[in-house]
Amino acid sequence: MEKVEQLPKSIKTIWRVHALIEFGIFLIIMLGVGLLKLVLPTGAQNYFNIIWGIISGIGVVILIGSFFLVNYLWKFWTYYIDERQVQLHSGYFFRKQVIIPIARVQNVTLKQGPILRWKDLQKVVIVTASGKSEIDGIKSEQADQLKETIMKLAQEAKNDI
Amino acid sequence: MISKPRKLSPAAILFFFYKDIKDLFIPVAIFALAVFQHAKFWTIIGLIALLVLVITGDVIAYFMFSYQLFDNEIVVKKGLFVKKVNHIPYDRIQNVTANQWFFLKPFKLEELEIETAGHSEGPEVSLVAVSVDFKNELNQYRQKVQHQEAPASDVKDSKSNIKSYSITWRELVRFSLTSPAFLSGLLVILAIYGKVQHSISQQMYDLAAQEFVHLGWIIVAVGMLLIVLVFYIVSVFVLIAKYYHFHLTFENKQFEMQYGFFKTKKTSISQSRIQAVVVKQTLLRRMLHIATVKLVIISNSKKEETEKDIIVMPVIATNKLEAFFHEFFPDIPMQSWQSTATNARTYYYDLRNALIFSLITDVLAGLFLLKISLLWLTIVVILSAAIWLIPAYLNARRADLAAISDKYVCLQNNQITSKNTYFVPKSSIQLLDRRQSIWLGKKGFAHLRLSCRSGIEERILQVKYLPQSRVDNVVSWYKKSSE
Repeated sequence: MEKVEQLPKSIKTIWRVHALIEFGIFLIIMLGVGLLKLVLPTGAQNYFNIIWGIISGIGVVILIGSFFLVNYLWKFWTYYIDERQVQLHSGYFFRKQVIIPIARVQNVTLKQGPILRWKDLQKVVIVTASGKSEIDGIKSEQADQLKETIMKLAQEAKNDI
Repeated sequence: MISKPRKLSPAAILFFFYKDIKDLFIPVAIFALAVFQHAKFWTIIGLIALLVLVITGDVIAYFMFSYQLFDNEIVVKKGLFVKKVNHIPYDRIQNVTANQWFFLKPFKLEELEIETAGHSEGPEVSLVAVSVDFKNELNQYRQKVQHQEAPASDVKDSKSNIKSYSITWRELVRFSLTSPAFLSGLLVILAIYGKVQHSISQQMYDLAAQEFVHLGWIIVAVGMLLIVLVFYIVSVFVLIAKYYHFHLTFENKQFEMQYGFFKTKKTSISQSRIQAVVVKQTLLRRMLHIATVKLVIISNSKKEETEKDIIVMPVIATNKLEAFFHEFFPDIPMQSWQSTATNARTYYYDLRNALIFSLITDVLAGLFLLKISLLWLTIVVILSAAIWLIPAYLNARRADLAAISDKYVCLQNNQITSKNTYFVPKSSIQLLDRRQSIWLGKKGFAHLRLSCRSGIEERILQVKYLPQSRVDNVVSWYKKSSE
């Protein structure tokens, strides 16, 4: 596991599904808010319609935008693990590079919801004393392996809080 | 060696009682006032019943509370119905604080707070009234555990060197006079005033306003000034009482800070628990060439960020800093830290961003104020420029970063107008985050964020818009393993 790796391609589907689910929740909320119109005086209804329309419009734009962004995100989201540290890279226009020394890792959590299970992926959460970093999803067996590696290395490294 | 289970001193009942009364006073007072008109007799009966209930509860709490020292841990038991047994291994103790009110001194009692790295709010264990000897006993147990772990290697080091430093009277006065703490007190008063204003009847308010008009604005202004002055003087005295006789000792790899006039506070923390050392200077203190030295530590405290850090030296002249570091933090090679002159582009980026925000503020204010008064608009424009641009200028000027030894990195940034210089050991940086947009990359600039643990939360130390080479130096320094 000593090279820069990308997330599996199937993560793109997951991100799209997540975007859809979020949009669905957003729609339900907007419909609920839309009901409020019935109790408003007629004078305010016009303004209400305009604001409601704008917010819904933004929601749709964000949905479409996030569909396009999925490819961009995936292409530049990489990680790298060796015996000393975990490195996460993301973004092209706004580049972010995170370095977590394995000696600082407190615990590793693997998470799998129904959508991730469908694609046989697992989310990896790396927890340090100050916070946590996430790898959105990698192949299940690879995730298990990764967890083993990190935990083995973390146990070797002295860690005293 | 196992000590017997012990009880707190009976004085603890008073402390329990005081704490309960403090928590209950406001809700009970409000409720009692509300019903007093309707049922005087029952209100009084109710209050007495409540008092009896609270006292009984406190007495029971006292009898159920016990603590015991074992070879490896301290065990605290409490609770009548829900029994709570808290085990704290000695090697997990982060710091121990002893508080002693002046009236407890003759009785040789003090409050002992033990903090761990856990996430409970407030100290893990709080022994409200124990004999002053208990702390020594606890320390003996703790040292034994430490000696088992780290045999003889640095006995010489731990035995002799007792170093100490006391604050001078002059320094304390300067510290208190330059503290902006009274401003926050003033804000609280203003907030209360806002609430009171709502509840005062309109008539009375009008009457008062008329009076004020008679008196004229000058008197109102003078009155306000007087209030500020009173606040200022009170805050000066509070600070002097709080940090009275500040005394720092370093012994056995333990720092011990002792201070306070009415309430003597003794905090001890092991050297290995220190996450970072901060030198902090507000604008005013910078002009007077004095600084505050603080320790970033892991604790259960959930106070505000600036309060959370343990003050290791409230005030010290900047020219004494190097000697101070040399004595108390010999690991930190402060002399090899030299601030680098800021790159012109850093100024450009910071000021550009501030200017954008300042202009947005101006436009928004303009939309409202243009029709009303040009004078006010001008004032807003000048104010927004000052509020945005001055901190931005200081941000750029003070942004600095360098690895000063294999073990330590020095990061300097600016928080509104106060300068913070952090000395962070590699081992306490939990993760490093380097950020750069593609446009910054072309010009060779980058940001850096270091994530540390402070209190029970994450603390991010960041510098922005530094030359890429300097950021990358630190990144590669961090990648090199230290252990």
